Amino acid sequence: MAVLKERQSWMATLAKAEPKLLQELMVKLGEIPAYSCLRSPEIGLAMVRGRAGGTGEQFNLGEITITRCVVQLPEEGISGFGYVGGRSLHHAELAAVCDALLQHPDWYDQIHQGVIQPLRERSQQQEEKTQQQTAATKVNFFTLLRGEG
Amino acid sequence: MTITQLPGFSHRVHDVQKTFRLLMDVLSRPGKPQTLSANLANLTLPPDINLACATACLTLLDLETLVWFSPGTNETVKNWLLFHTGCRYTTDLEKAEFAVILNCADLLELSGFYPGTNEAPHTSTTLFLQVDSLTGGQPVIFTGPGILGEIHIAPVVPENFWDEWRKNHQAYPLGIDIFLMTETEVMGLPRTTAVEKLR
Repeated sequence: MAVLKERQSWMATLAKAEPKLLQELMVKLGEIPAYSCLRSPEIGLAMVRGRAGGTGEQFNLGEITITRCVVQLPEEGISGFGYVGGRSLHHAELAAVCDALLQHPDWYDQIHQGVIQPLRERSQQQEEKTQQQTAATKVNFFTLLRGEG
Repeated sequence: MTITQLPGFSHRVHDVQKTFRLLMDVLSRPGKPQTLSANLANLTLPPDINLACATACLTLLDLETLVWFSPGTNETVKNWLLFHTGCRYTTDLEKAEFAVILNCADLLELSGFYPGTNEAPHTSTTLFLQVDSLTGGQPVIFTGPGILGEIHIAPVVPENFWDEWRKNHQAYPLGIDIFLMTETEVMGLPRTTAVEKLR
């Protein structure tokens, strides 16, 4: 179960990463094992569903364009999945390669420190920045007591 | 469920379009086999399924199709198709939209397949039948729509197949359509084709 949670977490990080930053980090890794595409990157649609307040009835929020890809490391028989929002074929392929390598015992540490950590730091920075910007525009509303009583 | 280790079409859009065209052509010209395009030959196949049958499955099956495989079919084949097409499997022959028989000796009778209804005859089962060869079997004569005059052909099929086929043809407009698949050739046998044994 813990393994599953961790994989979900890194797949989310990869999916939300900026493709450009992910590409830069992958280049820094140097040579990676050869892989082949089990399912070449392809673009499609998925329905996003939600629940009002997290507990209400399910409703269809809208459709999102997604790109998916599955790669395989032939020697180890490991398959890596990449599902990302948007239409970037390259992003989906990179995400799938990272997912495959993270399941590879020899590569786990290198990818975790070289790719996943920096991506998480970046997204945290971005979030803090947004929060600060939002906080700076905060407006307080006061209701004046009306002398009706 | 294990994830397949084998890739599907290398150029999915083009390969699917080419195969679809071929399947449509063979069904409109019954008894006239067509050869698969040579660049499909690099497809890596799971055991038991032949190239023609595999390409037809990759082309026509999708998320919405309900598929029946003859019992005892290798799980590797099913996993492979599940991964690449997302099709659903059924063990209920009456409900299947597509039926696949990899060993033609497994075919018992055609009346077990869903023949459609008078309101919706197009919902009948389509059968993919793998055969060893389209020559060398019992010689028969095909006549009917899409055939100019008659066609003499002798595919290798189970012994009672042509008797079964007569019943299927007589049920028109109900009945199933069959694709006979060898390694590289496909022949269409739609329900409109009348078949007579040549003595």
